[in-house]
Amino acid sequence: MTSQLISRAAQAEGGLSPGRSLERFLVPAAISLVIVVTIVVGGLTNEAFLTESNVLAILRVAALTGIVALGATFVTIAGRFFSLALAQTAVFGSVAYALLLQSGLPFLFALGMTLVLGVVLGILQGVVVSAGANPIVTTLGAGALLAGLAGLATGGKSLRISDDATAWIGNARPFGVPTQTWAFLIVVVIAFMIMRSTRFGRAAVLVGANRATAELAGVPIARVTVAVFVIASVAATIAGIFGAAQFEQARMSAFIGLDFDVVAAVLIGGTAIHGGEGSPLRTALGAIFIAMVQNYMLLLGWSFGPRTLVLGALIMLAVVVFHMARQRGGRS
Amino acid sequence: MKRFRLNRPELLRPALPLAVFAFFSITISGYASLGNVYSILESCALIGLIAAAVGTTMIAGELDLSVSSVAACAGVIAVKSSDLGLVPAVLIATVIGALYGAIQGWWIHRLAISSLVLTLGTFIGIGGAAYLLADERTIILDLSQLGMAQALRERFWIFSPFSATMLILLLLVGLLLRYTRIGREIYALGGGRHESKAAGVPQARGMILAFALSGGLASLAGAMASIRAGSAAPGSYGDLLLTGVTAALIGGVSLYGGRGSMASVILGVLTLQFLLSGLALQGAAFWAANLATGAVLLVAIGIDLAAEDSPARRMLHRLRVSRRNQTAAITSSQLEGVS
Repeated sequence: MTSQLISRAAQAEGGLSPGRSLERFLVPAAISLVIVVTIVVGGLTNEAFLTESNVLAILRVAALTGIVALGATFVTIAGRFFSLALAQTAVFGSVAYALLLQSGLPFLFALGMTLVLGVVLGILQGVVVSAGANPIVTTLGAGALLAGLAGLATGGKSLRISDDATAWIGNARPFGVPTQTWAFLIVVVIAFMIMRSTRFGRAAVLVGANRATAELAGVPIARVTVAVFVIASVAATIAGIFGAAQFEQARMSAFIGLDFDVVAAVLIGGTAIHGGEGSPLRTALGAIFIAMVQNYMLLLGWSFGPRTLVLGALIMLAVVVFHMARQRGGRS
Repeated sequence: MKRFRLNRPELLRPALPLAVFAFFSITISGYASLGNVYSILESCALIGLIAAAVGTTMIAGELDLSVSSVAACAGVIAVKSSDLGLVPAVLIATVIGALYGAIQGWWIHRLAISSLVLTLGTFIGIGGAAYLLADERTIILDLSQLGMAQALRERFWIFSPFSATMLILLLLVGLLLRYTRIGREIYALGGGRHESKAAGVPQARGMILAFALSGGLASLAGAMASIRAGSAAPGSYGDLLLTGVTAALIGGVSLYGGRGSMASVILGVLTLQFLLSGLALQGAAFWAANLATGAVLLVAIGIDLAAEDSPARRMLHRLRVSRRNQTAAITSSQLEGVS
């Protein structure tokens, strides 16, 4: 037991053991390779796949999934598994944003208020989880509550948004690239910097790797837990605003399946399911991969069933392969 | 520690459904009629079996997130094989589900992987499989077989064959868990995984049984509910996990494992369904059920947290003890300084 503690703590410190460096370089290389193979195979077998409009569509979807997945990566790294409230948080955020705009508030103010709301939602969930509650069940309940509240606020109807700035956010293409993709790039850089060079980022990794050691080392576990849920919640809110802006309306039925895509992106990126390891960069690659696969299956005319089955199979594959690789690495 | 026993759960738990029932009986006329109680019990049948499924894995210290997809899949299988007759169709779906659950439990034991993560993957995958099996559409019971649907909802006083099956099965599972060796092993897995392993309690078979029960009960629920409805939609039952976990938690099954019983799961299911049907009878919109279930679930999580042997309580206790030791150390060092 003790030796296990020490070895896991050593891993968390980022010591350059062979297994660690392997993971750092091999996994991103492997995902990149898989992405390249998908591009080549997709382009050769389906001429619609690599057209400019389709690539932009993929980038846009990957951006929204990716932004949320980057936020969720922090939750997973800190050892709190997943949030199942992300899709509902996005819907709730888009409804709140639309309502704030409808009430005549200026664009920036509505944007700020919605983001503050995202922070509050994250704090509430984080506090409950840091008190020791199961994160998945807590977010399951929070998600139901948020969906109910969004229904209560809108009466189940879609809310129209007519605002120039919002329309720009939703559909503009600065330098030929969708705004969502720009936002995705910015969020990737921010998430990478937080993880790599802030005290909080290192603390999140340590809490995920070994909570007992983190506690002994004086890491404020509760504060870290609340912070990771705030990050995930704000990321979902940002995605909600982008989604509402793109269709110029807030819909109750939006973002169905977002949670699954996010989980898939995080896990395929190789973030350890028990926490303590993972990188935003790899999650971003995972999100791009998932968006590409989903898009390709759509082009093939596959319906929801087979697409979901493939997604589930990919998640299982990623989970089992990474899990077994880590176990083997830990034993030798 | 005895003084903290404000909320004696064994007294509080039966009082909760009674209180909700009494409240709506007074505010809604006809709520307490035999016909309405029959229909509430009828709606309990599905949730009860799911709560028992999730509850069994919770007692083992795990959580089967795949129950709603498994139920949907089983519903499709049962309706598709309804030509064989009611009992064979339901049995086929249940056995397939139980086998699937056993395999899932074996994997979780073998890989020593978190069931939350593995079953999240199967939840998504099996959900897709249900669509594939059903050919993406709602499968409808053949007109000549509609008698089956009637048979399941036939009314005997306040019971139907479906709700009676649920009650009997929950009691049987409760007896299995409480009085058999393997049942106690499931409790041991949840109550103290490392301790039970050190004491020589077999780890694999309890885990396999817990997940086999979960898969089987969820399949039975999906199969019977789909035949009763006369159709199976692959995307149905999406909310089952939420209501199942909520009912199990109200029933006092702890998410930390090792605690809870099937008798109190029944009480939890009754509490939730009394509440939800009361809301529905008052004409609440579809999101109200979500709102109410979510709120109840969060409250139940809070109560689970405040329970005596939850991690939060233990942490508080540790904190208090260490602070006491600190002050003791400080005073003794001060005393030394004086002398």
